[in-house]
Amino acid sequence: MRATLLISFNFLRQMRWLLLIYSLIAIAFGLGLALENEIIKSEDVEFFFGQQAFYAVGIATLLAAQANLNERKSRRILGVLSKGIERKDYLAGLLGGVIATTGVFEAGVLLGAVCIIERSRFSFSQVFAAVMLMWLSCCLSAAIAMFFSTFLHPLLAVAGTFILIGSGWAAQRIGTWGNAVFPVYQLNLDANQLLQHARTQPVAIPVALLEIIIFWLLAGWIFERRDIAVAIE
Amino acid sequence: MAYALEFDQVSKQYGGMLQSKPVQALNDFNLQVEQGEIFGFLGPNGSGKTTAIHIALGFVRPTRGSGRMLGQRFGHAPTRRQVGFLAENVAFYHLSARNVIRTYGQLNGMRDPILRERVRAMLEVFELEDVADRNVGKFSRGMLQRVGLAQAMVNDPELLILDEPTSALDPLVRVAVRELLLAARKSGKTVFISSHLLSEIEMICDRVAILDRGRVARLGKTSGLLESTNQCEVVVQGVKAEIFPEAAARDGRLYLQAPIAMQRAIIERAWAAGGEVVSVNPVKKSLESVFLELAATHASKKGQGEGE
Repeated sequence: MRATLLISFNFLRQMRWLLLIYSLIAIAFGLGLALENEIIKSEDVEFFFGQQAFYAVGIATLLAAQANLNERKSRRILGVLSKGIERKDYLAGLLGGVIATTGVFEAGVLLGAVCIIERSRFSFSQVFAAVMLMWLSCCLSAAIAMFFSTFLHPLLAVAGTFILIGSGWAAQRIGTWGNAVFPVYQLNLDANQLLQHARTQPVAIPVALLEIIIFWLLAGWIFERRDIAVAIE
Repeated sequence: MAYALEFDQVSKQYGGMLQSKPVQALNDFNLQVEQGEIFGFLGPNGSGKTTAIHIALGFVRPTRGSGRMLGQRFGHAPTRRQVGFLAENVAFYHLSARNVIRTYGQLNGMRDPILRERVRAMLEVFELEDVADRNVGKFSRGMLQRVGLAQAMVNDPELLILDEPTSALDPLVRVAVRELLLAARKSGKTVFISSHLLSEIEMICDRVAILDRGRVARLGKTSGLLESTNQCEVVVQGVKAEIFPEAAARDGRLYLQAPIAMQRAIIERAWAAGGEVVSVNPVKKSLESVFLELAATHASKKGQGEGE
């Protein structure tokens, strides 16, 4: 566990500049909205959240899809695994790093949202719950992308992730059972529903948590069977 | 006797599915490294040295065969906690040298105060104290190699696997590393070194294996490999150079290299000419010459193969 946390922490540390920029953009966007309008319409707030949710899922997917290959290319993975770390724990470390990174980004979104709250009809608890749901959707996207990255090139892993996320969206459009399938879209939809005081689909949360664990276990199982240093002298 | 490392008929083939040409990195590779020895692992580029190391550490899976490291099958993660590994072209998290060594110690499951003490000792041994708080991202290759050695040894491992450990080090640190490895052997640890620096291997290794195209081409005690089987060197003085026209003259002495069977005749010829025999010794090869002989054999076999 300690080793996994160390790997996560170092991943987060590596991403600090990228993270700082994205978080500042989110805060600046919220601040801009607040300064521009005396009363902020709910459509603007929904647009703000919709946009940030899209960015967050994108960042999580891209980071998770390339984390594994980057570590292999840099050969840093050799030194870490040589210390007796299991491969699934190593992946947990990388996934934890991506989750922490998007967590910091979502904190930026929350700060941006705080700027808007006073001039809109939303409460802090409402916004906080919405951001948490958005973060959970990021965690699921990252787990799916990491799973694909254990056997596909990062670009294909991103494509695979968006196809799965898209299938969740399509299933949700077709029938009510859709929220049980890869609920990245559903969680973001729920975040929006929360802001509108509308009914949400609480089943999406446990489904997402379960899928994160399943995708991580599957990724670990596949990664255990892969060569990680394929350079021929 | 339990071996520190044991490869049993290990083969590894890269590619070959959709890729154009499969590469056979190891071919029925057998090797046993005994506990408590310093073992040199040599071979030309592409002979499979790094692949063998990566298989032992479980980074790569063999296509065929199996092996054990410290009594456990290859790839057994908890066993790697007792191993120190330095990769060729080492890379680290961009932290200060002190924090890199500390982080790798923590990954190894070490805790303070032992960890703190080991980090301090490693910084001292590898002369990194002055740069301990500088980010390793700004280090030269030699400095990175020192940090690499320090992280490999921070856990006081039972088995040290070093891939090109001293190639970028300056002579002073190289001597320090050599002493450290000899001290490790003295305390019963096993050291497995893959290197191109043949003089280093010659100086410290108990046994050597030379790899060629994925198989062990030569294996034995370093002293045995270096000893020539049929040549001796006779040094004489007080004899005119014409008596031994084939000899090299230096400092008033004549140096003759000849088959051992000729040794007695040379000595009698020197005495008959009123000279004095200063020394008679078997000719010792350098590891470099053994290596070059092997490379030449390889090249001629390849040439024959192409000719056919």
